[in-house]
Formats: sequence, C-alpha cells, structure tokens
Amino acid sequence: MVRITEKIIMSLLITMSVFLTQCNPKDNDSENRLTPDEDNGGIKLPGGFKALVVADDIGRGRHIDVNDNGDIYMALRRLENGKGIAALRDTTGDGRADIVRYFGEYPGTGMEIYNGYLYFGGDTMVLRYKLSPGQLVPDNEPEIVVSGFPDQNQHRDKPFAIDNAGNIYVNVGAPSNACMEQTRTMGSPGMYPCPQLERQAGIWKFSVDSINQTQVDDGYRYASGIRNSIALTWSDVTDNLYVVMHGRDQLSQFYPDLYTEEQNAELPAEEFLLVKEGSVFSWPYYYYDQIKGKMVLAPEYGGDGDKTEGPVEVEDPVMGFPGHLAPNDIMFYDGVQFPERYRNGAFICFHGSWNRAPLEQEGFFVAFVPFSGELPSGEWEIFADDFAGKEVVRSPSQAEHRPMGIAMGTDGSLYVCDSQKGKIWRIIYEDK
Amino acid sequence: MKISKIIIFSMLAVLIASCNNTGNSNKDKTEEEKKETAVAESLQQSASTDEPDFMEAGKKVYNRVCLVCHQEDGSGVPNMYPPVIESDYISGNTDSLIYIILEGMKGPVVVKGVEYNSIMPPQKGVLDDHEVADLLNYLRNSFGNSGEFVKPEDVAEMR
Repeated sequence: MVRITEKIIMSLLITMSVFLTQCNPKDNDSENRLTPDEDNGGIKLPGGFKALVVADDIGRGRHIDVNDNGDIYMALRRLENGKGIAALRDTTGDGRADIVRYFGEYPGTGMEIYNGYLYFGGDTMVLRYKLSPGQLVPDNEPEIVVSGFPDQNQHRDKPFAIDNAGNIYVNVGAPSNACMEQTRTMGSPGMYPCPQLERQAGIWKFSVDSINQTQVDDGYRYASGIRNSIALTWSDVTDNLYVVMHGRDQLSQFYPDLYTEEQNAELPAEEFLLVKEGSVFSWPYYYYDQIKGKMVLAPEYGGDGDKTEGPVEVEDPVMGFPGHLAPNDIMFYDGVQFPERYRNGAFICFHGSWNRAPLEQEGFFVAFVPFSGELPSGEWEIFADDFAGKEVVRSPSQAEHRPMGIAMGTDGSLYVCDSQKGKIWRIIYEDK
Repeated sequence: MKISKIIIFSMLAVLIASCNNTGNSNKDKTEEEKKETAVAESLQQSASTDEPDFMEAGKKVYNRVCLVCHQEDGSGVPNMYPPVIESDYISGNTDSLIYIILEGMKGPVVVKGVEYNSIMPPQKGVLDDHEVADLLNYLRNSFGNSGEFVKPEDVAEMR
C-alpha cells in the first residue's frame, strides 16, 4: 500500500516537474510593464530610478548574471539545499522570480554567462556548465576550466572576468593581510621579496574555451601586486581589465604608534585599478593613501605612514575609495535604459566594512563612477543606498542586507544581489 | 545580562559561604570549588562597585586584540570570522580555550552550525597570563557565555 502511494506521488512529481520545465521565461521587455515596489524594496535610489524585489531569502548571494531570456543565476557563499548555485525564472512577466531551483556541488563567488556556458568560480577551481536553450537548470556535469590553485585560508575566492578574445582572467588572492612572516601577528615583519607574489596576489590569464587547465601549466600571470580582487570585469568599450582591490587591514592594530583608530578606519584606499598586461600594483610593499593622494610604503616594510620610497616600482590606481568598504563586484553599464550619463560608467557594489571597528562600519551601497575613455571622468557617487536598513552599523552582522553582486539584464535593468539573506533587486529607470 | 550573571554568582557565593560556615567542609575543597570560590570572591569584592576588575581589564584586552575581527557586539564577520556569542568554545573546556588563545586557530571550524575557514593568530607572544585570564573571564561573563573562572596560573600551565 505504502509502495503504491509512493509510486503515485513519484509519478505526480514527475508530471509536475515536466510541467514546470515547460514553463517558459517571460521577458518583460515586451508589452508587460514592470511595477516597482512602493518602497523600492527598501533601498534608496536617485530620482527617476525605481526597484522591485525579484526574490528574497534564497541563500547568501555572491556574484550574479542574467541570461538573454531573463533567467538569473547566482553563486552562493554556502550550500543551500546542498547546492551552490541558485537559478531563478520569472514565468509571468512581472519581473519577480516564481521558480527558484538549486544546482551545483560547490559554493563559490564567480558567475558569468559566456557563449552558451555558465562559468562558475568556486574556491579552488573555475567550472562551466553547458546551458541548453530554454532550460533553467543544466542537466550535464560541469567541466573543469581551471584547477590547481594553491590551497589557502584567506582570500581564496576565484571570481573572474572574460574578454572578447577568448581569455578568462582569474583572481588568485594573497593568502595573507600584508605578507608578514607570521600572518596577522603584531610585530611580525613583511617578507622581502614576498614569496606569495609568485603564484598569488595577482590575476592569472587562461583560455576560456579549454578545459582541465591548471595554474602552473596553463596560467599566465597577467598582473601582480593585487591583494584580492573580488570585483573585476572586462570593459568592452576600452578593451581593458579593471579591478577594484581589497586593501590591507589592521594598520592601527599592528602599528598603534603610527596610526590612530580614526586613520585605520579610513586607510588604506580600496584601489580602483586599470590593469594592463604586466601591470604591477601596490601589495604588499605599499598602499595607496587616498587622503594624501599618494602611494605610501607599508609599515611592515619600514614605512612610517608618509614615506614613499620603497623596493619596487608600482602603478597608481585610477581612483582610491575609502578604506575597508569591500568592493565586491563591478560592471560597466553598456545598456540603453539608463540616462546618458551612466553609459559606459562603472557600477561598483560595496559589501560594507568590518575593519573600521571600533568606529562604525560603512559601505553597504552601490557606487557609480562616470567614465570617459579609459579613465574616470568625475568623482564617485553613491547610486543605491540603505541596503543595511539602519543608520548606524556597528558590526557587519547588524546590516540587514549587504550588496554583493551586480549584473545587467538585456533590457538594461540593473540586478543587485545581497549576501546576508539572498535578496535580489531589479533597478529600472522610469522616464517620467 | 551581566547583572543577572553577577546576581547568580553572588547567590552562589552566599551558598558556598554558608556551607563553610555550618562546618560542612571536612574534606578538602575540590579544584572546582576553589575556582568557584575564587570567582565568587572576585565578583563579591566588586559588588559594591560596578563590575569586577577582570570585566574591565578583560574588555580592554578584547577591544585591543579581538574586537577587530570578532566585533564590538561579538557577532564576528559573516563567512569570515565566527561569533563569540553563546559560543561552545568559550563556555566549554577551559584548557582547550586557553590553548586556542595562546596558539591561535587555523583551518575549517564549525561554530553554531556554520563553517569558517580563516586564521586566528596566536596570542602567546602578545598577551601575558593575567591578560589571557582577564580576557577569558570577561568572555565567560559576556555575550551570553558562561564557564568556570580562569586563573593566571591556569594559563601559565598551558604555556
């Protein structure tokens, strides 16, 4: 009897799943008009912009991408229902996901759809899933694009950027804060030369279409001296790689004689980098002081907070954001929905700080940087704010939401996802 | 929270003290009892003031060494550094706890059902025995934690 009921339930489930997979995504470009939420899903936007909540509570989001048919894919920091990627579909055209599925064996950060594949950057490798037209969840096993990265506890995420010439650029973060002999330990000097630069703290280039590559055999060190780049993207307009680097932590904790807690809260800059082949940036020997507007020698290498002379030549950033705000995704806007001034400018997700303590934490917003050609054409500004849901945030856990990933839909809408609960906003511009 | 702890400890102290007064202490006090007496005395001493000495001293150590990662409210950093709120590691075995402070921690650790994979640097070269004891007594009387009183000698033994 039990067996029979089970069979009936199973066949019902199978029938239901067949129905569900036949539900087609509705692209709302067409006649369907999106209705934004009255409170814009709790976030604050510039005049003319509105937002609606696409989904909520779907798991701690990392990076996100949107397929041409409107399907959304979001990498997860932790397994949700035992899976590491959330797939979302809107079948009614109201912009809100009514189907949420989970797949993939690993949690991770990197997420980008390219040439019919979903690329996924886990903690130890880059994978790709073949996407079949109309099918939300891939039914094939993933292929390994690159593996063989060093084991590391700190900064092990492997987000990436893909250019238009068949290359994928993978972040290999530094396994430490400041290349001290003993990691994050007061009084421990910086190692020179820093051995971590050999296989880490840089961007490695691989072929986007080859599988089973390894860092040692197939990787090319495209740029170095980058502590950790969770936010990286390829600009199709200028054909360049851009990174917003996570700067080092704990200046006043390890060097209380050189830095006040107030200085530690603002320094060093989160450096916005224009990355060319062979570029060498500041980490670990220097950091960029955005207040003084200059590269400063790191205290682990004899710096005193002002000294600039150091062991190697490094490149300046194109812009320095305030310290510790944690830039975690970047995107150049090449859509047409938003007003002219946003075209080809950069949207950057700031995840919000933890290393400003004991001062209050900051960040938790999406910034915009106007661009002209390869360089910023003006100051940065806050575009979307109030993700934290409160005025004062004393520790990152107190933030209700933390913006983590950003992507653009085919209609030029901006999608932003959150890492605290897994909320996704769709930001639109209404020309009236 | 702290106040209710202090009340509980004071009641405990009164209990222990009354036991002793009724001549019920023929046998030697066990280590446990000694520690309880120590914490009770320490708490009683300062009952007239705001907080026992170790609370202020321990909080200073926490703010200097621990707060940057574990945060002012003990909530840690999501996905990076675990919370110290209602922590089994803090309320559990004392020797293990002292060892973690002295030697640091590395690699995957599950705290309240969530895995963290970071590095906590060793503090043996940073904190002396008194500072470690103050810190642990502060932690065991804060953030919803509890546990036996830690003496500087307990830390010295673990070095």
